[in-house]
Amino acid sequence: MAARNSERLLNLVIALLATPRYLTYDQIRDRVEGYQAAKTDDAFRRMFERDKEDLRGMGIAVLVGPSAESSGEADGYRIRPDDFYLPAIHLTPAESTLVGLAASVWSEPALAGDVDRAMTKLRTVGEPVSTEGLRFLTPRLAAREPAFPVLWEALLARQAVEFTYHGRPRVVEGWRLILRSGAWYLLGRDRGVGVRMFRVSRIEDRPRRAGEPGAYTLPATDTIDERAKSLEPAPPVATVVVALRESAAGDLRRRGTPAGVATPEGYEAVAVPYALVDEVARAIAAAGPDALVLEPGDVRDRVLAHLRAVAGGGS
Amino acid sequence: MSTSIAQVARLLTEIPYIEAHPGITLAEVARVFAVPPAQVRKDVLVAIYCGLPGGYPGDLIDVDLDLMDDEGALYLTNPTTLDRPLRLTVAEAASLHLALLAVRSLVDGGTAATIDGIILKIADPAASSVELRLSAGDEAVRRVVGRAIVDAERLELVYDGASRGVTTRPRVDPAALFVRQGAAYLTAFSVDRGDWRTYRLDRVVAARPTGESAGAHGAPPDPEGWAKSLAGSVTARLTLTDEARWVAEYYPTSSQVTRADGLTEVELPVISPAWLVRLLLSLGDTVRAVEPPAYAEAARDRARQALAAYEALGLARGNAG
Repeated sequence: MAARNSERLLNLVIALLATPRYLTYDQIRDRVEGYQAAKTDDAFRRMFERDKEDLRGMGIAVLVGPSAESSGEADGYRIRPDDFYLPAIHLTPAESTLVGLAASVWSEPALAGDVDRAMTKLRTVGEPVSTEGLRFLTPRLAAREPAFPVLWEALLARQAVEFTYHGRPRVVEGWRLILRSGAWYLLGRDRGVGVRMFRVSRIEDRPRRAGEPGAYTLPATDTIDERAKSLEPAPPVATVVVALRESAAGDLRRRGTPAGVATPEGYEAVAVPYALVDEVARAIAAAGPDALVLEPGDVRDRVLAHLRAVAGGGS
Repeated sequence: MSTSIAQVARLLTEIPYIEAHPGITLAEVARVFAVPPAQVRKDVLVAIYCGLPGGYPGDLIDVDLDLMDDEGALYLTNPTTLDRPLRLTVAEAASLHLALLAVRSLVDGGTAATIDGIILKIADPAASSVELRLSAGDEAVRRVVGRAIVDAERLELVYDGASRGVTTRPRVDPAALFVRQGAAYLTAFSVDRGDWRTYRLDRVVAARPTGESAGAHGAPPDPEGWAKSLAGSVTARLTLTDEARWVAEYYPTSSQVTRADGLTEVELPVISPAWLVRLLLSLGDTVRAVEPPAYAEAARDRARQALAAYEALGLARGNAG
């Protein structure tokens, strides 16, 4: 039975691909092996409608349009080869090998399965060489946030999602899912508020799909890129000169450049650029006696206040 | 997904694949498509009943069944237009795109350019829907480390250690690069310590070949084991104000409770005592309680030492008290 269904579906794909014209119900019932089993018109239509949905579920675009016999109404079906086939590309052995390595990246089974299917398709346009030489690379990606799967599927289907964030119900059209510093973010248009960035782990309930797939279109990539920048560190606005104890406070030293300023014995002066006083003051306080602010005085006061809060009374 | 849908989806790729590889074995096709050989045989038995409308013998896909069953070899004649697989679905393209970006974050500039080439060829329709940024440090460091792994060379690193907050120059035999939690790491055998160590790539300030060959240390430990060993170590309990709640999201926690008074209690593995003390110093008064209290005392000592150093330099003016 399953084999019969598979044969009919595959024959349908081949017929709809091979035709330059839209095929009517009658032509499909006549020509495609497998539909003859339908005893009545109704039974055939039900069978065909189900098959059509199955094909769309596989990502195959079944187009509707006027057949040769039509007087204008869309009464026929076809699949356009340009929509159907993998583009005529060829992957070099080195490229195919890297695709093979990508297949082991996801720890999420659904996404890993998707990469596997993509890799199998790409095997027809390029053969990998041995991945032996790349075995020392083991990148892994995860998406443990419970809200992630729904956001992912809805975003790719261009379907809005509803969820609660900061105590408020939202309806959001997803633009981009961004992984940064190990955390996932959803950039999108909150229909009630405007374009917003949502940290996926802070979504307070399980997101639900809202409305139909394909309900919106994405803005230009440049526009999305511009909005995605809000996750990047703000550009530095000022510099603080810090005396760093040798071989300590590497996080600050990596951020800065040597500053030609006199320091106490055993220290070196480093100019550290920063965007937010509070952020840089915390980073300096973290190093304790290994990082001392030389100038300016206002940053030093912030660090001193911070240290006094930790030191407690009596110091 | 019904078995028919899965089977047809597979056949749309299997048919052009087998056609392009005359004489390929059932076992090999089974391996590529990750199904048992018996399933490939079932798929072939579906394919031979399919073809162009009309159903004349020459219109049908044909496979030499004798050769298949006697020798396990597949020869497929395909009169249909199914000579290329179905294009990637949006989900396949998006998952692959992110996976390729993850690989890209670990490799040198030349290999990164190859990956950019793949992405360009695939012309991924989902490309603008996904983005990935990993902390993987300096490209020059990755190039030196990657080459040293392939050539089995010993390196000297300049490393800003996270656990003690101290810069060291370990001599290491590098073995593997991996990505976890948004950052790239190097697994290497530390010659000085005589054991495997994990180095975060963006803390490797420089990597220099020593000219010596790496020693034989066997297989490096599994990165999963490293993550687990962190999770299984000593834990601390912090009570955080709303301002410091990011800690609960940034570091792996073993428990996390929001109390009635709005404060959040988190329990997290202590990567090292010095690491936790630095975290406490940076959090300041946004952490309200620490358990065990020894960590808070150590942070207090460090803060007092820092204040004394400012005092000694005559820089501790301002709102003292």
